Parts: sequence; C-alpha cells; structure tokens
Amino acid sequence: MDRKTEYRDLVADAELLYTLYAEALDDGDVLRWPSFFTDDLPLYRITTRENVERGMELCLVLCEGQAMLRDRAIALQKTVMHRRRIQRRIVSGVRLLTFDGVEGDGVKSRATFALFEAIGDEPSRLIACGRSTDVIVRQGNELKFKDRLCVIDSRVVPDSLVFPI
Amino acid sequence: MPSTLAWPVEESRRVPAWVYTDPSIYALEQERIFGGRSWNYVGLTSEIPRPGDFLQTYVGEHPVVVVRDHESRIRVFVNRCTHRGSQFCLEPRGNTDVFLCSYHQWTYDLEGTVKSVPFRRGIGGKGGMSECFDPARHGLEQLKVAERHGVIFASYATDLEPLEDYLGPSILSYFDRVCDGRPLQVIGTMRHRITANWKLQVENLKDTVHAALLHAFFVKFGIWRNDQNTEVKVGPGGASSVLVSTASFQPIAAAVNEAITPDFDLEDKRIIAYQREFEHGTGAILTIWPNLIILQQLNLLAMRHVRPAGPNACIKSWTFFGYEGEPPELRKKRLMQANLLGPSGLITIDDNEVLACAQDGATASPFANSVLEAGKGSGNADHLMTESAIRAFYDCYRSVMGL
Repeated sequence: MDRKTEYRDLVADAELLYTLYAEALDDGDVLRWPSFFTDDLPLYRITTRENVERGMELCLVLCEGQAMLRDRAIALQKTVMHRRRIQRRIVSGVRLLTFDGVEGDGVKSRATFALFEAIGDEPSRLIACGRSTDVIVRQGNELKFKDRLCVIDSRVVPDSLVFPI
Repeated sequence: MPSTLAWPVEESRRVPAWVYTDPSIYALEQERIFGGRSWNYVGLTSEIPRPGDFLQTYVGEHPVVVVRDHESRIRVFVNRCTHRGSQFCLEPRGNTDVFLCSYHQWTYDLEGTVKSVPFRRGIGGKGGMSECFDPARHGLEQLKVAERHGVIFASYATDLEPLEDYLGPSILSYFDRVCDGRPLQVIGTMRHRITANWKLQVENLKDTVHAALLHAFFVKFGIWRNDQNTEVKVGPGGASSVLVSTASFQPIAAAVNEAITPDFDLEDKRIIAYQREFEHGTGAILTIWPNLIILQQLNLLAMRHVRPAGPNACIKSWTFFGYEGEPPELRKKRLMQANLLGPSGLITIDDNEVLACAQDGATASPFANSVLEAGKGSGNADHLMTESAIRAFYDCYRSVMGL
C-alpha cells in the first residue's frame, strides 16, 4: 500500500471512531463511553477557550485513566439528578496532524464539534461547540482515544453539560 | 408595583413565587439591592496585579470595569461612556493606559477622568464643544471599593459601612478562614447560565436540607450529610450566612436515607481525595449578601458570583482559586475535585436541574407560596435540619425591598 492510500485509510478509520463515539453518546449509552478510550492511561478533558488562552489548568471535566471515565459514566447514570435530554453531536473537519505512530504513541487529530440538546417540549438548542485535539492509537484492531481535549468556544454554557462531548 | 404583590402573613416562613418571576420586582431589586447599600463582589486583586490591568464584571446586571490605576489603587467604573452611554470597555480583561470609547472616541485615564474629546474646538474654528462643556464634570461613574485579603467588593452606596461591619464577626471569621491574607491565585473559571432567578441560586446554598437528599453523590461518599457534625451561622440582619459541615467519609448508616443511597462506588477515589486545610469543617459554604458564594468544599475553593440575567435566569460565574506557591499535590487535588462542580459537576448538575424546575413552578403559579417551616426563627443552629438561613435571607430581603 502506498503512503497516500495508507493515510486515507487512517483518516477513514479515525472518522469512523468519531462517528461511533458520537453515536453511542447520542443514543444515551454513556456506559459505553469509556470503551472508546485506550486501556492504558487515557486522558479526557473538557475546558473553555478562555481557560486555555489564560493558561489556566482548570477543566470542567478531568478524567485520568479508565477507572475515572467509568466512575463518571456510572455517576451520571446513578447519582446525578437530571431531566431526560436528547442529545445530538455533530463532528466534522477531522484532520490528522501527524501521520506516523498510530501503533505507538499515537497520531494527533483535530475535529470540530457541536452538541445540541432537547429537554421536554423545547426544541433542540446548542449547548456547546468548539474543537477537540485528540491523540488516537490502534489498540488491537480498533482505534481508540488516548487523549481527548474538548475546548468549548463560549464563555458561558447554557445550563449544564451533563454528558461528555 | 401592583398592589396584589403583598407578602404573605406568615412573613419569612413563606416566599411568594412572584419574587422569582415579576419584572417589577426584578427592576426594584436592581435599584434597591444591587444599586443600593450592598457590597458586591467584583474580583480578586491577583487578577489585576499591575497598574493598567482591568477586568469586566457586573454589579447586579450593571456592567462595571475593575481597574488598577497608576497609583495601584483599585477603582470600579460603570462601563458606560458618559457621552452617549456606550460601553467603552469591550474586552473581558487586559491592560491599558487609557479607555477609549469606540463611538466618538472620548478617552478616559485610569482615574476615570475625561482625557480627550475629539473635535473639541471643532474644525477650522467652526463647531466643537460649547463653552459650557466642562470635561471635569463628565468623568466615569465610580463605585465605592472595599478590599479584604485580596477580595474586591464595590458599592453604589457612598456611605456604606465597612465590609467588616457589613459581614459581622461570625461571618467575617469564615471569610478570613479561606481568604486569610495569603495571595489567592486563580486556577480557572467556569460559567453557566441557568434558567432560575438569582435568588433561587443563592437560597440553594442556604438550603441545608436539600444537600443530603438531592445530592446522592455527597450522601454516598459521606461528604455532606445531615447525620454529620454541622452548623448554620447567620450574620447581621440575616443578610449573609454560612453552612458548615464536617465530612465523615464514612458509608451511610442504614437508618439514614437508605432509599436514596445509590448502588455505586468510585473505582478511583482521587476526585474526592481530601487533604485537611482548615479548622472547623470540611466544607463551609458562605453566602454574602446579595449574590456572592464563597465556597470551600473539601479542597475546592471558589468565588461563585450569581449574576442576575432577567427574572428568569442567572449566570453563575465560578472563579476557582488556590494559594500562590502551594504544593503541586494540593493544586492537583483542587483540579481533580473540580469534577464535582460547575456546568459538568457531579454535584452542581443536580442543583441546575432542580432550580430550573423550581423556576418553572414559580412561572406557572406566581401567586403560590413556598413553605419554609423547617426549624424556627432566623438564627444560628448546631444542626442542618432548619431553613433558618433562607428565612434570614428573606428577613433582609423584605426589609431592603419594603415588602
């Protein structure tokens, strides 16, 4: 396989990872969310552009390791009170910033996201949009996120950001 | 105000729902509470360390700019050009020598004085400002400023008592417990707009009873629970109060709320891993009249400013902080525990949701009353089975609002 074909295949695989990830969360299957991350020390963060620009470390969500991802997923299901919400994630502009290393330390990837949500009789509204910077590695036959950093554009989030981006 | 808006005869044991929904009440609050005799939180001194540093914030719904002037004094200006009323400061924060209004390019120095007015003498001897125009009379409107241990407050009232007297000794001691003079260092912010009146949000932090019922996460992990060592303290006139709790981190006894304890355990306890920092309680939630919450919960320290955004919404603005030069392990604990708070907080989400439901209830039935009959009076208690801090808030509210 030439290098161009190899690259295209990798991009297609990465896009599929994003699609399946969004699909699982949109289906309300938050318990499957950790399975999209590597077994080995994955990192998941949500923060705001404001915090990033100010060099502030604080995140809205900070999960280090599979156990912490699972804890958040289960807590959202079992301990957190929230109204039923229907969510839709639009992911576009997936771009690999690096090419080599998907079998090793991973390739760096970037994508744009938008998260919409409908509660009760209200129409869907935009909860957050922004850009993620991710590290993707091959684990077995599948691609997984080793690092996913979601940076929200807006300074103010409407209500709550209950489920992961 | 329509004459139908009369407070129930039970006084502060009832709260009529129209206080959360009525536009005339909201307008009166802006005038009498935020525009009146109140110390309003506007920021931390460490956010504007150098002369010329500024940040934008709000007193009530009024936009203000907090500035460190050339003499290193802190000033708070109304963000309104005195010419045609445009907001002159458009950046959330920054450093400047001068404020320039984009509309007609009036400029103000860091002391708020008009520095220049374009075409003041007109062009070619024609036009320009009239002889009776005196720039000295058109400086920026400034608020009175108070600062204590790195925390800045502002007031529209020029003759307001010092912050220390406003808080009273008991509340002040809890203020000083966290803001003890060590330099406070901001570690990040979170902001969210919730669909609830600002008072519902402030009351929520005075509502002792809900914490151990609604917040299953707290209950499960023994962080905030009614069977633990707890107390309520109320400041002068009921305006400010503090709820204090000491976490046991022990599993709940079967007799206490077994039904709400979820079948769930954390695999990774780092999000609640706590290091003792303060005496008297593992959590002290201080609410300062009118709309500041100083939150200390485990190692989480935050200034939570509740900005009114119309009768039916408020914007919660959280400034998380630690202390300058603190050990990295402690900083890491704060960052980990932040998973509990804010728009994605495993605790805060509960509150956002119920407050939205409470607002919906108030909107649907503005002439219904909420009932505050847990415990008696509006004073201190050595337990949390009382709604005294909320009644105290409404004692103060009714007096300021004339209701």
